[in-house]
Amino acid sequence: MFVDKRKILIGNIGSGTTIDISLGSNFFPVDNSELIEDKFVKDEIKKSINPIVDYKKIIFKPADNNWDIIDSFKINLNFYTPESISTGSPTHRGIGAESGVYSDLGYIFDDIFCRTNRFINSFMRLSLFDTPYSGKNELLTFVDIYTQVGKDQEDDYGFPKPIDVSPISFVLGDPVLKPNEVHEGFHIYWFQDLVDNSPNQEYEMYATLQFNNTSNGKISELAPSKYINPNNITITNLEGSDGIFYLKVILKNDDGIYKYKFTPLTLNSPAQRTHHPQ
Amino acid sequence: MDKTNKILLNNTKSYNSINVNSQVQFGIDSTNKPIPLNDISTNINQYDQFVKERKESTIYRFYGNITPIISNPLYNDNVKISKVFRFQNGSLQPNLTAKKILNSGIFEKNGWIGYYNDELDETALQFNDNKSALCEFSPFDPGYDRLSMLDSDGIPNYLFKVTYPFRSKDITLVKNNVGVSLKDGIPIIEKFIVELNGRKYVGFKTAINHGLSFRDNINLYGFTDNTPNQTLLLTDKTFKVFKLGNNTNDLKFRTFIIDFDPADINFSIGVSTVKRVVQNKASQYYVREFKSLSSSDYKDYDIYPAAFGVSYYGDKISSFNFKKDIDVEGLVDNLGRPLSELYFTIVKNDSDTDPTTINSMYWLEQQENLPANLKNRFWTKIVAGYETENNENINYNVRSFGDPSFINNEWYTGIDESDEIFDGDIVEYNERELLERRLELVHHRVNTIYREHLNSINPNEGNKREGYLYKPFNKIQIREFSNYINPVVDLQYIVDKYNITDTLEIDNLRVSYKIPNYATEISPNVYRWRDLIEIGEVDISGGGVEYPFESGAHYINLDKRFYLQRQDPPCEAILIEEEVELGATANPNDEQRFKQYLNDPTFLEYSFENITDVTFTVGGVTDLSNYNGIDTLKIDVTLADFIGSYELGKRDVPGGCVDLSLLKQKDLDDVC
Repeated sequence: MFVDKRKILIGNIGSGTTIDISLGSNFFPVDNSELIEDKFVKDEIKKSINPIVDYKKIIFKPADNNWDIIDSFKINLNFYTPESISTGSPTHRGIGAESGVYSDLGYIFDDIFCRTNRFINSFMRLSLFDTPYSGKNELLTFVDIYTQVGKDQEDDYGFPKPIDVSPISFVLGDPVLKPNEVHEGFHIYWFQDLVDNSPNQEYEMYATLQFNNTSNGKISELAPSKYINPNNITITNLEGSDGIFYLKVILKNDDGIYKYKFTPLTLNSPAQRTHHPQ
Repeated sequence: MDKTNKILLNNTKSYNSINVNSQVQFGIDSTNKPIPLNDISTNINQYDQFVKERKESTIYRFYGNITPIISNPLYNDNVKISKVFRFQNGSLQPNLTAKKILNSGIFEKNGWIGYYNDELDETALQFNDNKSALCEFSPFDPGYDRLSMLDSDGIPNYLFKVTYPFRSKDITLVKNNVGVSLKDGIPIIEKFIVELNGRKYVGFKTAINHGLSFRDNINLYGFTDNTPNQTLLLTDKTFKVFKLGNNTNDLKFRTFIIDFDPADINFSIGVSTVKRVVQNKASQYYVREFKSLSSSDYKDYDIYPAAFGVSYYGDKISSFNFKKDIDVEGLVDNLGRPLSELYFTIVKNDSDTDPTTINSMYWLEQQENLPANLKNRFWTKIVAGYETENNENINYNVRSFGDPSFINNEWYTGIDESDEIFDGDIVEYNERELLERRLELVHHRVNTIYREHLNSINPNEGNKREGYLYKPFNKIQIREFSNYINPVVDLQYIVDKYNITDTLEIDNLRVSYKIPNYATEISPNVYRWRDLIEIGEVDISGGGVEYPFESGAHYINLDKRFYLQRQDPPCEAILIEEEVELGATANPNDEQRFKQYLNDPTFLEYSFENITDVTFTVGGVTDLSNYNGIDTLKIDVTLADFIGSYELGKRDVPGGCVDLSLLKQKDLDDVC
């Protein structure tokens, strides 16, 4: 053992004198293989194993503003009319909850009466994103809702209405409670644990809508809104939680019942569901 | 350095103080971490990790399909219920009305009994659904809204639960005065003689399935030895099953034959029992009780139509998905073993429809004079029992419930879907085999209040006590015990050899020898058990279970059938004939009777007793019900009478087992 000896004269030591003692050590690895095997390796293995991720998805049922579950809902689409576009002053058809009509999209009566491919293969795509910013958001899921010839499109006798009064509407219903309605798009399927572990057990998504028109190959981006005033759309923000391209959807675990609801936009509400110049 | 202490010299504290030498101790702490001397490489086996996580997981998730077979042959009445508006107190008031559907208007569609609407339905018009109410098929009540697995009124007709056997109990299966119960063995209810190759053998019939096989050893209890010196030694000996089946080689599950002279042995019903014996150990018999692991608020699962799912009989197949994870950690079954079985349980909901519908309101109106505990219900409380032999001494015969001859018998009563504990199956357990065998499955029975108490509602009608049955418990095998019994472990040998007296040491020995908690102690410190096979492992005899493990949970797909059946489908049909006299001089009651017969679902035809009695006036017979008000016409009315095994009141619909061709023959011999 090396000892660094120093002589200190007593006269040099005054009252309150301190002596610095340096402690140095050299690292000599000793045989710690057992510790390494028993702890270190196990700890490292444990760290290297991915945690279990829960991929369980469940059904979320639509609810109204009060979180009461609803058994069906309707999506109306409204487009600038071709006539108004040609005049350079695009306007919507109708007011309030009134939807556009299929003639605005170039369909003719025979398309609906005969359920032609160019009609029945047209669809609306509802895409759900994690954030309302197109530059960085991720697509979570989407659902395609095909055109319908339902009660809205038929008269009292069950015949298709004339094309210029045939509304562009999609009625979606619960598969159990409304067995005769279309169910695709009625439920949202999402990860249960993400909602359970969200603040207040509410999880947000942002929906965008497109209409894919098979008759002319056009895809129209739509401005979705829960409220029903298409003429009140102001194109100020396209993106963000206030942007007109995104409709906030809240998924909620309500005491064991899993629901979702569309929420109104803040800046542009009330703004009608859809529209886009052709 | 995370802590600093200031130490003042003494001369700073008081002018009288001087500095003295002081010693301050300081400690040097250090942490260390082992550093490998060289590269250490370890492989992590993904499959091993998967197996490890799977073994450790006790979470189960259930999903699947149910194929129902459901219909309504036991309907309340063949009526069409509608709402009409009548002037009352100066204004139109809605009233409920019921129109009797004539026998000729009763139809069957995919097993459902009902009618095709031949007039505009006010309810449908009010609904304004743009479709005609004409020609729509409507089942009689209980209809789709009370019986279907998928119900569009938003109030489920059935509740799904996950249950497990958590304890056992004893029941008195056959009535007796000496305290003999199921724990004493399977009761004998009948003796018969079988003659084979000129030799007579004695056979016995049991109240329920006996669980015996050819050449099984059995013990007989409570029998009478008729030999002069009791040479049969019934209480001392074990006997062999000579054969199963009766004289026609049928009923093998409930009859067995032993090689005795039939004259030498007698039995007493309720007292005589039989037990299977394995290696000198008699089996135990008991009822398992099931406890729910899920809630009764319909929140634990989603149910929805299966894609393109329709059964052969037109019933919509339902899919379901349990949102709630079922955790079996720490749970043990009625024998104290880790759970190897769960049960997917379906229980009828007795509040299964919207009370504001006209159908609900109509039946409540009909029942308003019943006692308070009945009049507001549509369904009776659930009763449970087993499919036993038809004998008045046998309790828990679910098919006999309501038969006046069984009025003093026992059943499991007062069952509700919200219950947490349910009575379950009858099982046999033998300590030598260390396995339970299900002998009888429990059935639930439910009827409508209207049918069950019809006589109190309408004194002209008798009670219709035949109800619906279903099996509530569907087994889910989540683990399996090994097909082989672990060799006996004798700790007592070690205890004796080393003179161990400390119980803690003995417990440690149990751990060392890997004796599970559920092992059977066949004698002090001597154990035998069956290993519980790990999920995904298969033993050499093919035992074991395998199902997906994902997201930290075991996923089990269930593909189950749900059969809502009749309590006692009548298999015998006879024709009965009623004579009525119509006309001005006839008893007015006969006209009413005649109309009633025409409405009766069992009405077949009528004929003129003497065709020459009929006088065709100008314009023909315009009103046969009173024969145009002229004298006198005798008519023979033929009706069917359907007879079941039990006296459960009038049956309106024959069982599927009845030979319907009989009803189409007109032969005097068929007329009673």
